[in-house]
Amino acid sequence: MNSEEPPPPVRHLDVALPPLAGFGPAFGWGLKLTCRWPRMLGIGGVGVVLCWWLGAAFVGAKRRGRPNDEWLDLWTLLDEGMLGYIVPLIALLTIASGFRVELGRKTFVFHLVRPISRTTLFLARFFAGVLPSWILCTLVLVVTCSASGLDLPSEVWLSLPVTALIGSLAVGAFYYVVTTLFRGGMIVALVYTFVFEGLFASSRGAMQKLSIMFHVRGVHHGMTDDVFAAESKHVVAALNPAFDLSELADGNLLSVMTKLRERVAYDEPQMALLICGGITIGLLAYGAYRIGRRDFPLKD
Amino acid sequence: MTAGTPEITLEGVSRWYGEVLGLNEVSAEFGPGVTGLLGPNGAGKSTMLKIICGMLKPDLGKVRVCGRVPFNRARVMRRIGLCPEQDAYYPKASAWAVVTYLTRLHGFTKLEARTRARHALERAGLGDVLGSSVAGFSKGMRQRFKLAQALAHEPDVFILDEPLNGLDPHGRKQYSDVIQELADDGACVLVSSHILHEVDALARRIVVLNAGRILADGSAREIREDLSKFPLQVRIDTAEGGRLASTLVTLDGVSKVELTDHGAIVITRDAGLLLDRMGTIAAESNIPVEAVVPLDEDLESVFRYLTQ
Repeated sequence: MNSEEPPPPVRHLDVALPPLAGFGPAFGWGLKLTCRWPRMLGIGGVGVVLCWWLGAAFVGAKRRGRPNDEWLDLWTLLDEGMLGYIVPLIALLTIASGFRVELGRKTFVFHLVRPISRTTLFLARFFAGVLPSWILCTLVLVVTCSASGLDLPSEVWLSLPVTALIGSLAVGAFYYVVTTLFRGGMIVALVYTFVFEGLFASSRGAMQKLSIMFHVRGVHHGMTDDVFAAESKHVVAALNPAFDLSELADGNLLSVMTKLRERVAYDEPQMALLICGGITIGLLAYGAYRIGRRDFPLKD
Repeated sequence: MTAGTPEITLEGVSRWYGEVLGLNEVSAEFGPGVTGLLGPNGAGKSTMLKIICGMLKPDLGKVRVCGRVPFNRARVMRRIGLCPEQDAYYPKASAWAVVTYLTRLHGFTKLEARTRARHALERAGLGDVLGSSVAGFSKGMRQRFKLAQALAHEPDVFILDEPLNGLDPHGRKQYSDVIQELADDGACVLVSSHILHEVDALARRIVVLNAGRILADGSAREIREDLSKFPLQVRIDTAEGGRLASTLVTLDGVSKVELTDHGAIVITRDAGLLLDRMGTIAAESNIPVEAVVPLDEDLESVFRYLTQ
């Protein structure tokens, strides 16, 4: 039954583990679990088709109560549609279940008796979700911009992977921690997406700041607003808090809500980066702390 | 710095699950060799093993594995190999891939981990199905898979939680042989089970647990001797229970004979003598005996006696 060449015997050494020992294999295995082909094809395929359609259909379409301005359309679509919903949803689908799936299948038990710290495993699985999320988010943002047909300058193209990465990290950290620590975390994450990223991000005043993506959008706007403003006076007007209330007279409900929103200035890019970094590091530190102290009976 | 002898120490360890006491001031030491943890469901065996593996933190007391606290201490995990009770597997991954991955977490290179994984799977009897998905394995094959992932990094402390569940007789023999080899190599092996003869065959030392407490600790022989102090019940199926009862009450060790619809239940302190003499008594008295069934061989009875 034994193989011909047994491996050499192990000498058990009582020495400390190097920092982040086991990160590489745990990251690689996590990536393999996240990037299962049917799942990735599903998320990527639906995302690309949807975003191509959005980019092609929304940008330049004539709508009542809205100026016919392709640059304003794309600026709004990237800001509210892509960064408001699509990026968080992709992050949710690729990052959130990275750790929970190990707990659910009870395969976490195998990791608890390996020389890999819980913190390292926790971080490895997070980044194993962030990488595909980043790639997919960048892809759908690029597809949207391409489908718009506008001749975009390099600053806009460059902003896409940056925003996708910061969005994946910040909002992904929230989803990841919530789903890891709470049994019904996926429901909480979905509720968060539609209430905080949807409703609050479109509501009045400082409520918008409760949305994590609001701060991510701050980075995006810092990188692209000058470009869009140079091409469109309507973007300049939208960036200006003052507007003419008479415009509301014949607008539809969504338009009214959008326009009624008391515009809050986006964070400066440096501040936005700081806030996103703080959110990501704070959430991951909290998650790692809780995982490190928790019991895992893992009963059948 | 080379690590010392594989050993496990528990000092006054208690663990609650809410208001339920899972483990109650348990103190024990385990060294090289096979130790069987015996107890009915809910006795605290798995709780003890999970505390030893660092999955649970004791509410009271101290646990040391090779001199170190195991809870959330990755360093000591180099030396532990756990075969968990629950079925845990990745649905789409092959046995070889999973064991390779888990072995890599011990710091082995990919190539070395693959070699070790293959060797461990072969040793566990899964050499023919290395590339098959664990999801398609039978219960017995999954037990072997769990053994393989515990073996691959060559630990010297083995925690095997109900390892023989679901194995066929051939599988049990193979599995038991591996456990014996590990013990012969100087490893500390803890095997839990709720089946007396299973542990009896594997372990020189048996620790009996019930309701979170250690009730008995010693060799299988010592525990049997302890048990012989308690009366055992034997059911005898016969059409002439009354006549049989009058004969049996005179036999040494018999304290009581209860008549039933199918014969009699005899309570004796010397079941061996009763079983030896039963044939002779039946023949001499011309009483047709259909069956003689010891009622106390099951583990629950053993625990009932030990808790008296």
